[in-house]
Amino acid sequence: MRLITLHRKYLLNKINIIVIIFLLLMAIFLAFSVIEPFTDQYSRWTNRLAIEENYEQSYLTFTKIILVIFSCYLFGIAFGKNGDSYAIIITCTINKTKYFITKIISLWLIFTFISLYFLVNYHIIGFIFNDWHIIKMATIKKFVDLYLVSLIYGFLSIILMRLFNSPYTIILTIGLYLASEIILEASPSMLAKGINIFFPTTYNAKDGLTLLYGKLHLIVLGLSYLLLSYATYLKKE
Amino acid sequence: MLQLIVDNLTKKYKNKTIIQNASFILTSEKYNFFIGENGTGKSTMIKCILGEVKYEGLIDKNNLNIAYAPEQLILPEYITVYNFLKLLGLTKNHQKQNIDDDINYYLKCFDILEYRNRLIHQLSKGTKQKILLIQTFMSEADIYLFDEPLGGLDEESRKHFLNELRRLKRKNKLIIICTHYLEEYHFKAKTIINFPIRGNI
Repeated sequence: MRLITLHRKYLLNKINIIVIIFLLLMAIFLAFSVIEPFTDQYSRWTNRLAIEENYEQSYLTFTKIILVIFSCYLFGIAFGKNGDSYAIIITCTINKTKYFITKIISLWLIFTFISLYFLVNYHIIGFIFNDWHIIKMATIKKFVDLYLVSLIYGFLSIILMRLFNSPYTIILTIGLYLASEIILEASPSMLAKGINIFFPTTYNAKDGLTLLYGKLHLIVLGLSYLLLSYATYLKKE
Repeated sequence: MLQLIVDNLTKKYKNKTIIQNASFILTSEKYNFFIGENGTGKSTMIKCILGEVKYEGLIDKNNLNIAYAPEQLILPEYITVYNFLKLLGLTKNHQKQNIDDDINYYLKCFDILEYRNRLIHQLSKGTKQKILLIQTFMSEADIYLFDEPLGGLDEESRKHFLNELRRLKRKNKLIIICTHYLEEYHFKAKTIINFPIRGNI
């Protein structure tokens, strides 16, 4: 627990706090901009289904991109040259596995807090401006999908950071995600399906954002990437 | 007597050999120094001893614990000096009942007791350097490894630092200091490892 607190203190430095505050404000701005708050009440009531659907679709799409980028940044930077420099005073006393696991837990806690905030913000703004807004299980499940996808890119970001030891790998990871997103959005071809095995994303189906291979695939891939990131952490100097 | 044995150690980065066939024994009976120009492999040797990099050859630490004070280190910004030292100390298995006394002792010793409740980001470079030294002295270890410890210290703090080294030595701890300024250490019993190392010493 103490080591988790220590990691958290290191992770919440000035830059990361600014990034997090920016994200929190952005989530509010995002929700405002897609809920159309200044349209007159009559027309809002008449088009309530379309407004609600648009609110959900747009908010989820933006959330997906923001969470993936944030995850790549947070996990990548934490295992970068500066972000992990303090390991040297810890791992001479405590074993590296314990250090790695506690650091992952600290990152996961911060990331989960931000993801939950996006979900709560979605409902709060929804309840304030749309009288007909309700909490739907289907929407929460979609949030969980996005959360898992983002975590996977976070783990991938650690692997690439450990392999290349450069902050540019964060951009590379984001690039891989965007490429996968664009290819899948253009057409669900064999290539897109192949890419999605290793670089998963969601696509817009009839009932909103959907995964190509389901949650189990995300969990297995996430655990594989986590193990790989652990292996690169131990092996790479 | 504690011993650290380095036997036939070679370290290469890609094709460049940094340390070649180095062999030496460091003991707790003497103060041990790594000296040499920049880029001669002192820091690499420290990383080898800490187990941070792979190498060819052998380093026999006899399962001894190491406490390390790097020359520079990024410290967490939004935590007070006291909380940081306490958190780090407890993380490194410092005895809970003594920790407050130890923190106060070292803060007083290095003349930064007034900064006890200050956030670390408000401190000067020299004060941060002192915190790095304090966290090392507070560690329950057998080997104490210091990288350029006198760098950011004023005259008074240097004296306190040297006194603390003497205290560790009396407790039979193995002390290794990596430095450019050997003349600052007025100890009689010294083992000096001169870098670059090529072969036995």
